[in-house]
Amino acid sequence: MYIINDHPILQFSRDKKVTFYYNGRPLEWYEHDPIAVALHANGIKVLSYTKKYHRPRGFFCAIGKCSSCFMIVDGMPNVRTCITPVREGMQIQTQHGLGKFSENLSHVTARTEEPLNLQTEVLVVGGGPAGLCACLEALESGCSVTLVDESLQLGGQLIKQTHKFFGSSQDFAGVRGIEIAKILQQRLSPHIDSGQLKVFSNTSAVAYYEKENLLLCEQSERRLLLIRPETIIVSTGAMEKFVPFVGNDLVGVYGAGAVQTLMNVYGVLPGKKVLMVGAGNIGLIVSYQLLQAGAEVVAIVELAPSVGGYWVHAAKVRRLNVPILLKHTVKKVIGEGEVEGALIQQVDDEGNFIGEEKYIGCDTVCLAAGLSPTVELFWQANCEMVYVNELGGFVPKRDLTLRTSNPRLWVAGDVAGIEEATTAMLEGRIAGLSVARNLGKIDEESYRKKLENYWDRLNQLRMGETAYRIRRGLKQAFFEQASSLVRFPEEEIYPSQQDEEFQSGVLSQSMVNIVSPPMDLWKKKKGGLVVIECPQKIPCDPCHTNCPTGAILPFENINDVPKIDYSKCTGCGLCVAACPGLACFVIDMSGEQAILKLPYEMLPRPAVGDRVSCLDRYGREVARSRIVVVQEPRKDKTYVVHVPIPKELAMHVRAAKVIRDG
Amino acid sequence: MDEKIFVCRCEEVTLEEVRKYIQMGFTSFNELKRLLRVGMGPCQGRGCREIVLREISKATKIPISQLNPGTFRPPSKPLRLGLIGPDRQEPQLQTGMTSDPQTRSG
Repeated sequence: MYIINDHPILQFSRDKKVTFYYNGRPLEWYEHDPIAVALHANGIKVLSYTKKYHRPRGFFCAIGKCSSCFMIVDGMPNVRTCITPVREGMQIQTQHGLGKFSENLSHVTARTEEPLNLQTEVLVVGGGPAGLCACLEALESGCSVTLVDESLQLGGQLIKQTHKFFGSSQDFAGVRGIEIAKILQQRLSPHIDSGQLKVFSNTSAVAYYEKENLLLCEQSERRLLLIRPETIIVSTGAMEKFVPFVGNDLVGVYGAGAVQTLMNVYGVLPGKKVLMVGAGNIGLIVSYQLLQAGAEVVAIVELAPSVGGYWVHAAKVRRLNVPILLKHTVKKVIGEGEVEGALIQQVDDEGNFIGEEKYIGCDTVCLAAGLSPTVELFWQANCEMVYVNELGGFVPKRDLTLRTSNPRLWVAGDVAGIEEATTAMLEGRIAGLSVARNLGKIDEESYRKKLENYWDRLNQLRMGETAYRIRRGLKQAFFEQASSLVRFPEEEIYPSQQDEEFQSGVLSQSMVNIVSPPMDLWKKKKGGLVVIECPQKIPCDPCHTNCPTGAILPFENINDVPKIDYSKCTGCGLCVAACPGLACFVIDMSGEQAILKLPYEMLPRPAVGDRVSCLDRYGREVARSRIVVVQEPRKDKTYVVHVPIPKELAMHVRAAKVIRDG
Repeated sequence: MDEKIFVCRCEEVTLEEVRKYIQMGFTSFNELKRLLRVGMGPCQGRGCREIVLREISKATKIPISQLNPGTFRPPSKPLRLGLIGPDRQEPQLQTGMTSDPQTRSG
């Protein structure tokens, strides 16, 4: 019941089934997937019982960081089942407390291999967007590089991002995260073939010994790596923050990233009814992805008075009938061992509970209340650290080349401060470049040029209105004060203050008027005119770069809201398919009925003639209609469907849902 | 169902315990770590450290940025002893000390 067989965007590689044994019971799942996933797919969420209170435990982070997924595997206790692949004949047992070794210890120790001693010019720890780009930059400059990564697949969190990225088209905007991961890997592969890059996956960096300049890693629980690098780029990413509330350790309370891993990497759903805690970008994106995967999101609760993520992400889930409850928090998760529901309540500005408690039935609670940078290696390396709330916690101080106070260590990506993948990739570039220069691999002039170019792009991406916290945080994270390279806006740009509806992702009426095309032209224009509901200054340009007629004007600043020359718009709908926020619509008012051209990324896949329920910005059904045209302009699984609706609903309907029965 | 709020999943330390010990005057992460085992479980404090520091900060009115977040000792994840030991033969149930008190005291 938890297995996703059909998905609007993803296909899951399920090659070969293996039989494994769970407490002696034979079960089947696909080779190479983690044990914890194989168990979930078989409906088993309880992995262990705790040592003190004997409480059932499931996994929480799913990326090898939280250690909540320990089980006894082939006689060995404390195996992290979220990053250990299932194999034919594997014996998996529920672990009680610290677990026990099996009687047959020789069997347990048999797989141990001799430690591997390695030297390398550049060591990159963590193969996410920052780490992969750091590798590429260092390799392109001629360095020899070693990459260690904890997961089974390279790409970090990119491998679970089904949405298209924001940012500049130069830096992958409009491309889905999963595709970016593939592109980066493709670019790395010639370097692997040539031997210039060595990759160790499923390998955790566990210790750094400063005096010996030794980084100790462990691969797949069977081999030690002793690496002596000349330079180290640490891009270890982050982990979901754990949140204190009653029942926060119940089985079914997951970090949002864990839910993404489960459903988007392996095609297994954590549950059917999900309560999302947190309306930052992760909470909003994962909610949308849960809908794509076939789950119901019963609500998103957010402590703050407005969504913290991009407004367009909020609008996307609101119009699919997901309520976003601002100034609300989860008070208690209820269930006997596994989640059955949750009590939520409103809070006032001081954080005190007010009003009635509300019960929400759900089988999964997904925590998206922020991330904490994974910084242990920096502490071990005696780097100067600083606590910056806006960046997610303690982070290493760095200079403009992202070098820390320990001259051997550089930092890039979320571990330098929680942002997003587009900025992480540029940070990786900067760190890789600086390392190459340090090793004498690049001449001063090209180094300068490239460094300035990367900083220019990074500065642009950080000029949006939701990035004001990041900017405030970054001011504390550098050794130097803002220099010629790091730029901040002359006057700080804060998120626009609007009414409460707007803050939760619904366009207010005054703004509806602003985004409506001029009626005299609109009525005459066959094919329709574009309506862009993108009221927030965020770094994004695919609507412009994909517009073939120049109707969507070039951006002076990539964070500007789109401007339209309606006389040039032909209503082609290419922007509808390209917009990462699904905020572009084309509406043809030239006929008797309005024809609405909408983006569509859900199941069931749309076909001409399908009956649809037409939903407004709140997700309420306001009409029924039939699809008259289905296009897939970019061949990337974002469909553009044409739906006729009464003209008076043209500025109300913003989503369509295919109805297959009844 | 009980009303426990967990701060540390690994060592099952509750918010109530952390607050109680802070009230008793243990206002550094390292002290709480030794007394309650926060940060000593297999995740090495990745989940609990910040919650504990926030509680210390609230009680002492010292901003988190000025608190000592505790010592980060390697390894940052559980390692099999068999991987680190000098020889990789089958482990014996020996501690290096003999059970004979005569030879042990030396």
